Amino acid sequence: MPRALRDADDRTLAEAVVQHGSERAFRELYRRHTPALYQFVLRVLGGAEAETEDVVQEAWIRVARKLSGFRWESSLRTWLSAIALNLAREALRRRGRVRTEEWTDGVAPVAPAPRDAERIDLEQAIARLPDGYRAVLVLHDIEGYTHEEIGRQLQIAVGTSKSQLFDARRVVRAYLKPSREMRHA
Amino acid sequence: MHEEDLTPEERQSLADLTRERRPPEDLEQRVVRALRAEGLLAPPRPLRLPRSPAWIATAAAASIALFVGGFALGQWVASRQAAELLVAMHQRDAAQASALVQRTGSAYVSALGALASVSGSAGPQEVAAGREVALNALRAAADQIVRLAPEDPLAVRILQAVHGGAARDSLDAGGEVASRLVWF
Repeated sequence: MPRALRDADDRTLAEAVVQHGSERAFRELYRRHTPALYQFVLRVLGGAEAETEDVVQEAWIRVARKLSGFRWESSLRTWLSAIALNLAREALRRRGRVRTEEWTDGVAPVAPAPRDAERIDLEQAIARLPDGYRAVLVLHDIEGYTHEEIGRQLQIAVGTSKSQLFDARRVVRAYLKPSREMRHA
Repeated sequence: MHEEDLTPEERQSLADLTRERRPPEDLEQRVVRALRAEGLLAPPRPLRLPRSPAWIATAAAASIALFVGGFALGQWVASRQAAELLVAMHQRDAAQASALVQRTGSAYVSALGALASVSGSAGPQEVAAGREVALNALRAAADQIVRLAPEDPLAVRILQAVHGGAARDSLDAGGEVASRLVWF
């Protein structure tokens, strides 16, 4: 990859893709943003690799299709992540694992009892969350989204986002409790 | 519940989670292929070579030079290998011939010894025939030794002795040089 391409900002590269169909510019954008995007989608999907690949691929295709109309009011990464998040939600719905109540207010999940002897690290605990709770926790506690942004992205009320985050953290703590106790024993 | 509900330890644990993961190698190519198929990326450009007459002439000259150089090199390598092969064959042939002389010489001497041991009990004609065969072989061998080493005085004397003996035998047989070829 030429140095000039590596040094170019996202907008310059995107213009090269839109105006000239530059494959090298696109590959630079892809390599710049895909590792973070891939990890993000993988977390939202609870570690499902094949689905993550499909979502990431489709996200890039949709971005490329709409790139000429992108107004750069947000960063490319934010836009890309939003598109990927919507695709991930569609994938979760297709799975049939998202219960409607997870995206609505006021239903507390029941944490399945983890085996005491099993050490569950944080990543595994997040992956075991119900899909809706996991999405809110990943967006808020890992990606740094506000509840307002989460509400817009997931099309839920701000209050729903907050309560789901509360529940999600409670479930994660319940998962992690035995291993913490073992460490402190 | 809000962000402040996280303990410092929990906050640190979340901050320590990896933010990036390397996607599968083939995913990039899949995405690029899909975008090409939609016409969003330009198809890969075929290799374009200049077509000017000067370029073609230069390319032709370079091709011919390459061919001739390769041919000459091949010839040289082949001839060198052939010469080495011939030398090796000659060396091997000489060694084999020397060994054959040694083996047949031993057989010749052994055969003469066997003839001598049975000469008392065998018929005189058979013994005479055997003696003649042995002498003819000796003369033929002397011829070859002189041919092999013409300056060797011993070889010359042997030749003279065996041919002198043959002449006397012929004269003894009736004044004619009788020559009987005995194949063995």
